[in-house]
Formats: sequence, C-alpha cells, structure tokens
Amino acid sequence: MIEMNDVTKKFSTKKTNVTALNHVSFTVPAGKVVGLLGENGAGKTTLLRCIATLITPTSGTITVNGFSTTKEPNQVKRKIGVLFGGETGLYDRLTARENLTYFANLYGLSKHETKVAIEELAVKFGMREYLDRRVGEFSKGMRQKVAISRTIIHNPDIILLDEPTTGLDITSSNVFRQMILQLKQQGKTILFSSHIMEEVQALCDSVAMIHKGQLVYQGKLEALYHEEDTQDLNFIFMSKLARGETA
Amino acid sequence: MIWNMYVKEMKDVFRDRRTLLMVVFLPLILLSGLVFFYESLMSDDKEETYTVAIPNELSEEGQLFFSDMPNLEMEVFARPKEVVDEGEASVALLAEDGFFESLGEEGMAGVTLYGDSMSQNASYVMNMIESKFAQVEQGIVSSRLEEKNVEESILEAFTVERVEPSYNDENGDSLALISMLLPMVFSIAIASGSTSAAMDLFAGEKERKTMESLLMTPVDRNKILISKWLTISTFGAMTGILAVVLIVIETLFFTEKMKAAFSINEGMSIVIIITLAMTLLFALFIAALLMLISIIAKSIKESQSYSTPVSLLTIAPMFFITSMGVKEFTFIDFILPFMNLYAILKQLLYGIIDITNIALTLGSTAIYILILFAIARVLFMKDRWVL
Repeated sequence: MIEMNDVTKKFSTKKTNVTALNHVSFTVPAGKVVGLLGENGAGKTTLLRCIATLITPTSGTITVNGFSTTKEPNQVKRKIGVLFGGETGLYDRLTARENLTYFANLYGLSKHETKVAIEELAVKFGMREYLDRRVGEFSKGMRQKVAISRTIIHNPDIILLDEPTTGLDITSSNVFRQMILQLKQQGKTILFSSHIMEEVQALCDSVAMIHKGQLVYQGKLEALYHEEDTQDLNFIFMSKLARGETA
Repeated sequence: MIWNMYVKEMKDVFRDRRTLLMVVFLPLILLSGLVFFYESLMSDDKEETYTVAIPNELSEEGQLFFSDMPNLEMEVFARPKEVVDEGEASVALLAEDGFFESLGEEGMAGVTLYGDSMSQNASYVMNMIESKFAQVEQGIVSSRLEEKNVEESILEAFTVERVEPSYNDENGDSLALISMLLPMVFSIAIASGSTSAAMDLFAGEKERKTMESLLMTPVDRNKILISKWLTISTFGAMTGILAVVLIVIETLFFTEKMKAAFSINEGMSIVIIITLAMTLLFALFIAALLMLISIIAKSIKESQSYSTPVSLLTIAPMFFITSMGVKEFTFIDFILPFMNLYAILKQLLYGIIDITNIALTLGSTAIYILILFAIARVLFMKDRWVL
C-alpha cells in the first residue's frame, strides 16, 4: 500500500521556482491497479520519483507498506519495482541474462534465487530465445520485456510504471498490457501513469487525476463513470481539468 | 557487492570495443611511435647521405678534405644558395677559387656555409663541416707555431675541464630524452585509458537512464561510486602500464641510442616498485578527477568538453621539466599535481631515489585523491547531479 500525505515538491533554481506537486494526498490500496492520469508536465513523473525514493519531497510524507520513503529508503526500494517510460534502464552491452543477474544481485538475491527468477520470467514473457543475446540488438518490444523483468526480478509487492507503453508499437503495447494483467492477477499493487485512456480503462481499478501538481480526482472508475454520467474517460478528464476541481 | 559491481562495470566497458580502440589502443600506438621519432633524432644517421651544393667541381685537395665524410655528397650547382632554399641540398659551401689548394699558406682564407640551422639535417651537416675545418685549422696553426719555434701551450692561458655529475654519464642525451618521453607517455596513457570509462560510467549512464535503475536498487550509493571509481582507475592503470611496457620493449629491442638510457642497474627494483605505486596512485587520481567531471556533466558530449583541459594538463609539465636539471626540482614541483609525476619519474630514471621527494609525491597525490573523491561523493549523493 502506498500512502501520500500532503506531499509538495518544489524545484528551485536561481531563475525559476516550480511547484511540481502541490499538497498531494492519496492512497494506492494493496493489490489494486491505480492509473495516474495527467497532461505532460502535470507532475506524474515527479510523484512516481518521490515514491521511488529517487527524489525527496519538499514537505509531506510518503509511506510504502508502512516504510517512509525519506527515513527508510532502502526498505522501500526492496518493496518496489520501478519502470520509467521510454527508458528501459538496461545495459546495452550486456545480455538480457547478464542484466537480470546484475539487478538481482543488487537486490540481494542469491545465485540460486536469481537463476530460478530468470527462468520463470523468461518463460512468463517468452524471452528464452534471446536471453543470452546483447540487449543492444533488441527491438523495443524485446527490450521492454527485459525491462519489466528487471523491474520485478526481486518480486516486489508494489510496481510503479511511468507511461510504460510510450514508444511501443501496437503489438508490443498489447504484450505489455498482458504482462500488467498477469501481475495484477498475482496480487501486485500497481501505480501506473499514462495518458492513453483506453489503456487505463482496460487495466485499472481506480484512477488519480493530477493537473498542475494538484490532485483533481481519486476514486474507482465505476464511481467516476456514475458521477460524470459517461464512460468516456477522455471527456471526463478534459471536463475535470476545465472545471479546475481539486480532490 | 562492490566486487560484483566492479566486475560488471569492467565487462561493460571492455565490450565497448570501438571506444577502447579509439581511446586506448590508438593513442598507445601513436605514443609508441614517439620512440622511433626520438631515436631518429638522436641517431647519427651514418647511412644517410646529405647533399652539399658547391659552385665548382672540387679540386683534388678539396676531395681529400672531404674524404673522411662519405655521407656528404658534393654536387655542383650554378646557384648553390637557391638550391638550398628550394630544399634540394642541405647546405651550400661557398669557397673562394683555390681555397682548398691554399689551405695552410700564409694569409686568411675564407669560406661560407649557407644553410637553415633550424633544420636538423642542415645543422648536422654544418656542424660536421665546421668540426672538420676546426680540426684542419688546429693542424695548420700547430705547424705554423712549430715553424716559428713557439710552444703550442703559449696559446693556452688555462684549461677548462667540464665534468658532468655521475648520473649524467655518457648516456646523458638518451636519458634526457627518455626522462621527458616516458612520463609524458605514462601520463597521457593513464588519462586516455580512464577517459572513456569515466564518461561512460557516469555521464553515459545518466544519458541512457541506467543510473536511475541503479539508484532505485537498495545499494548504498557509496558502493556504486567506489565500484565505478575502481573501474575507471583499473583502465587508467592498465593503459599506463601497457604504454610503459610497450615503450620499454620497443626501446630495448628496436633502438640503439635510446636503449643506452636503460642501463641503470643499481636500485632498479626500488625504481620499479615506486613507479608501480605511482601508476596506481596517479590512475586513482586521474580517475577521481574524471569521475568528478563526468558527474557534473549531463551528457557524454558535455563530459568530453569538460575533460579537454585534463588532457592538456597531462602534457603541460613536459614543457617545464625538459629544461630543468634533475636536481633543480623544488618542493612545489613534487606537490603540484601532474608536475610531481614528471618530476619524480625523471629523478627515478636518473637513478636518484630521494625518499623525501618520493614521500611528497605519493603523499600529495593521495591527498588530491581524497579531496577529489570527497567532492565527487558529495555530488553523487545529491539527486541534482546524478539524475
């Protein structure tokens, strides 16, 4: 479970002072898939980076399964797996197996655990054929499979995905959605940012909408459809932004 | 954990063959080429012949004069000076008619040597001819004095004997060149070997976003920093040692003049141990410096721009130490980064093992490493610099 309480993040330089997150509070319940919606620059990536302990909030608190992201970052890191969109974060000159082994090692998995985990992931995502080829030779879809495998190699309870289908073709996007559904079936908690509404509708239990650093809505999709009297998520999203509501 | 990360980093950098070839092996080959360049500078080139332009055919006396200089080819040209200006002859010898026939007779005979003293060949030929004239002149003056029953010693009010220090023996010239060449090759090789790894492991990882993946793991950032620093240092040390081994082998097996510089035997083992210690420390120092630059840079391109001054710094001391005697180095020379490497290696090559200077060099380098690493660590702990 992820709990964000009154989180603000400001980026200050000599010339500018940007508030990327403005008093955001929301919860991602355990075992649920929550979609994080927002325009480019709305604060989605900053929010995910704060949860991933990559950046520290200016104020407010974030806990992941009860661990504070600022006070107990290493415990948090063991509980989460993160994948940022467009970037796979893989080493091109290493093979898929070497990449996975390296990250498994960084997460403290034993040699045996690593071997078993890689075998399972290779079967699950159909990567066996190219497991021993260098990642630099891979197509985007293949890379994305290895990247998600890297994200979950340590079997995290919580998975953070930032626009994971960005740059993927239709086939790869579909493969990826299937992978998310598999993880959902395993009971993983997934916070998933996207601006593809169909994707959110297909995968998520509930949504959080963020606009200019402020949370404008959080709740179940069904409740939102009922409240807005339409199932057109695109329309609902634009209406929310136009009305300038905050949650 | 550090070992595992180190092994992975080494594997990753080693697989970047194109960069390794361009940044490590190509400079090594070019640097080793310097050995042959310097060897050619020092050699007498006995087999090479030089053209001397003369206005008229040499008389018998003239031919006799140059008979012990078979590498000089006397060739007649209508305009000898122009021939030299056009580069067809090294030197023009302009002697009055009957100059060689009248040598030794009463009166002052004149001869002009025309050539560019900035040219190595022309300078060599002019020196050779001047020496011959000086030798002949000495003989003529001696016989004239003898004819007049004057002791030759009357011309010498006193004698000056020039004695070189023991470390500046008959191989002084070779040693001077080697002591300039070796530290430069060493310094450039370590820097060029470290550069590609440093750029790749920080700026490159930021660019490719693998740094993010790494920082999202529960591994202590200090361990990440140390493993990367050790990888960069290893590449620097490896390239440095490879360059020196290559140059020593080339010098010992393929040169004559330069080879003479390696005749130091006393304390050779200490020299080797200190050189190895210096290699490691200098590699760690360069690695810390390049690592810091790579952390500050946002991209590999930016990192390349920032590290250009480091390349210049690796060569700069050569211009200072070339004209300095091996005993003229001061305290400052042994504590200045880069300069201290050149100074201590020059002393070691001359067989001078000065414990104070060695301690100053190693100690100051260790302090620079600590300072640079501490700054790099502070920056690496801040998200602003690593993401």
